[in-house]
Amino acid sequence: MTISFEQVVTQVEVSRGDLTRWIRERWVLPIEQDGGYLFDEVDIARVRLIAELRDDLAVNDEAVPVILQLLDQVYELRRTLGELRQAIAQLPETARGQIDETLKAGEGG
Amino acid sequence: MPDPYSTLGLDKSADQDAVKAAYRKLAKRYHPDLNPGDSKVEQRFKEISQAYGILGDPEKRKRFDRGEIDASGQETAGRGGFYRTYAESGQGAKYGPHGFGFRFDQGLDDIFEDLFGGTRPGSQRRGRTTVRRRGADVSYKVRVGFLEAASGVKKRLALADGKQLAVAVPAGTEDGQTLRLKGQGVAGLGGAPAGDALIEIAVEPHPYFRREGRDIHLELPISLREAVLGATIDVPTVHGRVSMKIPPGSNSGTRLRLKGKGLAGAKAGETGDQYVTARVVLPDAPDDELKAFAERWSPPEGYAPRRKAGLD
Repeated sequence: MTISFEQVVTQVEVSRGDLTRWIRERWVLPIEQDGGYLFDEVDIARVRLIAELRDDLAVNDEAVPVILQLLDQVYELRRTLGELRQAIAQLPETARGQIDETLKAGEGG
Repeated sequence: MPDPYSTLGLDKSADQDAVKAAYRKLAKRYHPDLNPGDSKVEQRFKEISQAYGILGDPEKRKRFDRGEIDASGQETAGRGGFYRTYAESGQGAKYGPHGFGFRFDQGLDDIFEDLFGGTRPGSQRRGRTTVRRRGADVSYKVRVGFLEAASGVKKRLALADGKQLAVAVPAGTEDGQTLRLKGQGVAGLGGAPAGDALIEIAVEPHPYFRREGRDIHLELPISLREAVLGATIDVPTVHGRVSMKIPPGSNSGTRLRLKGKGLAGAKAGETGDQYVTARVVLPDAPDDELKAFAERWSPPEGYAPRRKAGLD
């Protein structure tokens, strides 16, 4: 599902000026098509998150990008961790056992 | 449904500022997007939001105190999905490499580099092993019109990294189909190839064409005269208008085929057809002449539409 700039303004209850600014600051990255913006699910959820950070959690505009950068890193780490988890799951039993032992020993190599 | 006052840890005498402060304190701690790995916080956050939805609004708070609305506040319209639901998917990948997609195609100090690429402390070996890792795929969704999808179209897109891209949507593209643009995703590591951009196409519905596989369906309103006497009518197809013969005695539901006027197939000879279903439309209000005709008209033997449909 994708929705337009105007639909985001109504659905998330954010002002046109704010949304324009957030796109310009690259806090949210909708695709540009035929001279308009298209927001997919992740973009809409991100706009809502920014609105909530500001309106409900009293985060000011200076702090929003700091939080977004940290969140992006957390999610990127989680994505990478997911890849590692899959890679480890495909290792033979003995190799997984060794990783487990090392972690339990708490040495970390 | 828990009591909103106890959810926010307040007593009934708390003023509006205290309500707001209590909510903010809890929301900062329990917002699901700030706790991506914790599945329990979502329920807790919902309770907190719901409690604040009532107590944060002085009018609703009064009504709740008077017992006019319950703790659910009857407003369960609900927000949309949380960011964390999508953040780790292909759609979220564009926000991935360290903030806002800024450094989309720069080398990153990747966790894999840390794990496998560095010189091991105390190791005899000098130098670095280069880690090669393909970049992540990034998913996008775009919309194309029904006719654009039918005949194929070139779309100009600006992706998250600011790259301008011409996407060729091939003729006959179906709703939900995904195009893969090689190398347009996140850059790879250590000389490994970049990921791909996956463009999911949403085809907008058309006011009168409907698609089934490679065939196009169209409902065609015809007049009483055209139905009885037959006619040649200009009919729209996805390839432009064509002239079509309506045989005499065409009825509502009569289906006619325009061969080869559907969507192009992958191979020659697989092109679909357009099916035209007639629908007889009477005038909005019958005029005297039509009424007089219907009075006068004696239907032939066997004209019993309800018996034919098994409704008698």
